[in-house]
Amino acid sequence: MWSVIIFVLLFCISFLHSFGQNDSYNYESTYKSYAEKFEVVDTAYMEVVYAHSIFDPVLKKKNLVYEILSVGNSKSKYTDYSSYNSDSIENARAGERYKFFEKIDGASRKLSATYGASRERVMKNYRDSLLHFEGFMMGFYYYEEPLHQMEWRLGDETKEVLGSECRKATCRWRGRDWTAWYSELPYSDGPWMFGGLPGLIMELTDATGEHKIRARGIKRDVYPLGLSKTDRFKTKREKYRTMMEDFIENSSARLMSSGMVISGLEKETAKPRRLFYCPLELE
Amino acid sequence: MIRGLITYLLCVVSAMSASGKVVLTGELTDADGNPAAGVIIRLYKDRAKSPVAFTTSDRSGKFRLAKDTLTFPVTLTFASSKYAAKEMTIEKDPGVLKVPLRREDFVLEEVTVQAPAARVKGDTIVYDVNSFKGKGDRSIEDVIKKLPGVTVDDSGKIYYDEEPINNFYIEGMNLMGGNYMIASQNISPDDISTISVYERHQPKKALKGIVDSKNAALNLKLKKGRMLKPIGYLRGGAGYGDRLLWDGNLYGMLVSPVNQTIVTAKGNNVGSPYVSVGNQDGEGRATKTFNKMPFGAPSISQSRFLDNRSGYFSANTLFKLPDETTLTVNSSYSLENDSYEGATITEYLLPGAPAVTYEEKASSALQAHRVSAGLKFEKNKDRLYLLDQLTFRGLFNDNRYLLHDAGRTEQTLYNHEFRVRNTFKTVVRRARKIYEVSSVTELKNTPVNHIGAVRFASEDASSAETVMGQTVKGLSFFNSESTGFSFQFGRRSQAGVELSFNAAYDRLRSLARGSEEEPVGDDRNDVSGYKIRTSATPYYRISFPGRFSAKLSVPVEMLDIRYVDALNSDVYSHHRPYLSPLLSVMYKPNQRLVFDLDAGQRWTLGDIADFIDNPIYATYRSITTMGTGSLRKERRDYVNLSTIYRDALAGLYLMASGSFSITENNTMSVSDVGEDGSSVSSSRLNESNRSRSTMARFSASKRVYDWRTTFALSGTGQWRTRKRIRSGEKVDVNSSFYTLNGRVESSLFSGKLATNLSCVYSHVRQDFGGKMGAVGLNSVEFTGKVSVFPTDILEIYGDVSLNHAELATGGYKSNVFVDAGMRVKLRKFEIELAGKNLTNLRRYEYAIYSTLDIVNYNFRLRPIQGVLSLRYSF
Repeated sequence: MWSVIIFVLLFCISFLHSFGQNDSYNYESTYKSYAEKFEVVDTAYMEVVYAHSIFDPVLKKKNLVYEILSVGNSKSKYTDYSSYNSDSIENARAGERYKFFEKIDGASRKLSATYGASRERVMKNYRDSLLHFEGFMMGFYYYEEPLHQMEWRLGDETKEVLGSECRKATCRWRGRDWTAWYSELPYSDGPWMFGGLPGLIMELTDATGEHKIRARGIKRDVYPLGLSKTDRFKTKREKYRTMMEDFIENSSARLMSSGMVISGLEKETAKPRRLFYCPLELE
Repeated sequence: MIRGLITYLLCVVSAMSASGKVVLTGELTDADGNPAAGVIIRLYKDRAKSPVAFTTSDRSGKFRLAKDTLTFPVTLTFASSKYAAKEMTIEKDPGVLKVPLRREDFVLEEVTVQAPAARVKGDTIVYDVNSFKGKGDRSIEDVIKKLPGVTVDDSGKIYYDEEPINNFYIEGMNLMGGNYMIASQNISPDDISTISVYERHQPKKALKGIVDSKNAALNLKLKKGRMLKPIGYLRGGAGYGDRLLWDGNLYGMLVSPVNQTIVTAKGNNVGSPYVSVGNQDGEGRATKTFNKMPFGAPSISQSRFLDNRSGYFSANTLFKLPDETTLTVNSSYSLENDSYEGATITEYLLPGAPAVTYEEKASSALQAHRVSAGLKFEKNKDRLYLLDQLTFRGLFNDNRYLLHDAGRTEQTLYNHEFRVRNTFKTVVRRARKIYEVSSVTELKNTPVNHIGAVRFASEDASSAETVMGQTVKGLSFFNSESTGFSFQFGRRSQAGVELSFNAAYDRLRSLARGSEEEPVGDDRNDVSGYKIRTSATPYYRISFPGRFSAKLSVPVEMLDIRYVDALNSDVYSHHRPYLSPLLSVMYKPNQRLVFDLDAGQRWTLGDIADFIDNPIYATYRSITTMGTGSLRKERRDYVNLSTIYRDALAGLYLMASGSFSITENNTMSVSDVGEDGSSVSSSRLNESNRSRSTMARFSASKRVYDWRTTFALSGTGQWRTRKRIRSGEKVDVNSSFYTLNGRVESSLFSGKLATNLSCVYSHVRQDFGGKMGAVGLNSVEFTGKVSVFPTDILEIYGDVSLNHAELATGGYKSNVFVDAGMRVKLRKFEIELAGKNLTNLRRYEYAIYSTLDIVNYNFRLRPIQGVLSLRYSF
């Protein structure tokens, strides 16, 4: 009899416990676990998912990357999906995140296979008008520069993107001619380094057609915003671009010269080959 | 502090010194006077929708906006994620603006997601309806037509990869069975969120992963909120053509997790028949003896030429019972009262002699009642499948044809047919063993099928003189039992045997003169007997699910036939086994590419018709002798190869297929024409006849999702050789047929302009081995559909169809149809003014080849008409 009562009590407790876990999202505990590995700089309250179609004219190959803009009070962060996933250590919301992406893509299990060669992140600091850029190639490199240097020309044309009426703006930015479609949403932000328009950029295309970035989903969400606590090497934009181009062309040589131990089989597969690459900046 | 002051002063000075342009400076604060940073300030001229300049307030809340070639008044808006939006009109230079903003967090209303146009999950492709839907689409069928690989024929039948779909589900339930057009042609695309295509769909769960199907199925998923409440519409309309027109339609559907019900009732005389009056599919041998449209019908939509009075009612419901069981009840009644007029010039080609030409003019009045009812019980579990379906159908036709050739003749057709069918199927799966049993029992009775013709010597009805009278009666009973057993060798291979037993009893009687009690002459038939086919089909199948499967089967069929001719007591018996080996291979190297190969030999064996060896009138001037008195045997050796490449995410669909067959037949068609063409007879002769047929097809379509545009191109080539006997001489008939079809369907400018343009070129050619002159016809058909949406509630549309066809009498004839209308949508109401045949084209002319004959048709068309209708959706 006692065993039955204990069983029923335990069952009720575990049920209530699990119910509590599913029903509410504990920001405090999330923050604590996040702060152990990440330098928290702000709280994100909205995220925008962009589908970024990239064409590499050298490899003649097309790739689709999902990228996320997390918008906070004074900062925003732009990452690709895999970085976003690895930055979001808290697993309780993994299912929710998965559902959101499943709505967007329907095949989110395949998303990790579609990324480009490099993990790059852009952190925009509205308060200090500063842009922090970092990329990974055999280690993290970063540089900073003033925010929103694009000189936009506003147009009258309109277009509907994700249910929002958007207006056209154009600019030439570091070797490419860009067309942006911005919405009425009151965020002067957008994909990657772009922003500085009187509304959130919903779609961005370059004149060559090599890049097309389009918003596929927007949702409210509250979570800590930050960058991982890892060693970063400060560099300059020009130098980073040169290093990245060299890495793309000679990734296997750089890998072997890095001092990493390469097994026989991996050496075979590490034959010289150019990685998929199509930079957003040409200058 | 000093630096801020200097900046501020500079701003003021620059604002004051500026001339010919607007310069605005200001300071934004919250209610407590704290600076409001990061606020987006947009500058508009008058009430323009796009800003001409913009800036963002700095950390101290200050901003400066300047624009050349702009004068006051201007409008400023302030937008921020932390402050309430604000708008102000500035009439003149305000100096330094002080703008207080109210603290209010911007709240994103809801999660906004653009669902992908297509998602692929294994053999299922899920299409987002919004990505395909155009503003002018009226039913979900209009959206289905746009899906890659899908075609829909004029009757509403849906094909995927050129094969008809095997199931049409709504929320996973198959309510309508084969009559799914009622749903697909009436469900609004606004009620549907996704359409799933289940490729190679095996509807029986017990056979899933074991027996592949070539056919796909579609599933409609309703939008949230559309379940558990009636959805549908009520429409009524009136108009004028050459008479008063009326049109009414009620469609209602209720879908819940445990029940689905569809009810529809409609009627019209605007030229939209609900049942194709000439369609004789599924009719019994005795009913099929007489063609319901024996004097031809144009190859255009029946709505162009039929003067109709049509009514239709259908009620269908499905109950989902526990244990994966469903119970479905279907019923329908239709009435067609239709008429049309046409003239034909038939050119009968004759070997070694000039062709004989015969002209005929016919007015046809067709009346058809059709009633059907069905009850279906189905249990579809992983290890057990059980189906029992009972259906009843009754057909009642009463037609009159008024003919003008040399004189005036009236032909009548009157028939009834009743059919009752019961289908029972079960599949039991136990571990690695599968048992299947199938039983179909059908009784078909044609108590009367009569044609008669009288000729009038004058306008006086009493001058009528009987030309002919022909009665055919038939009774058939059919029973099919089949069972199967298979054994799985591991996961990938399976061997089994399918056993089937088909028994058919038929009786067919025909009488041309006199009565049954007192028949006159020998031109009558009374044949009855049975045909039993017992077959055993051993097979071996190897399958790597989703990648490769091959099946080799060797059906051995024992045929037992015994027919008795009651008139002369002749007995025809045939007892012989037949072998029809078949190999099917499917290879799918990846998710996008699939190859199919079918090769084998197939026997087609005759039936009671082969022993109906006395002539039967088909019309007042044509006589047919169905059989030769011996069994017709046809052996076909064939190979079919097809490949399909589909990338649903990229909207790309490519298909190519080819087939080749050689057919050995033991009979040959014979046709003889009277001297002046006023009498025609057809029969068969026991003579070896070898024919070859080759066909090649391709189809390519690309959906550019960003442009909301589909480009499609398809083509067909067919080549066929066979022999015919015309007027006692054997003629080699070599025919070839080519078509090329291009189509662009697009929705542009945010859906404000929708276009669907297509062009079809076709060429048909026949030569007769030099015995008669070769003939060839070309035709081009262009159709264009344009819908414009000047506002969200208004649609203006137009359809143009241009048919430019070569006539056998020489030259080309162009037929141009123009339809147009406008629709206004006001929430749940819709008002439509539809105009048809605006060019008032009254005759439609075209020509076709009918093996050894060339027929020029000239049909009367419905006149220009307009109908105003009101529709309420619920």
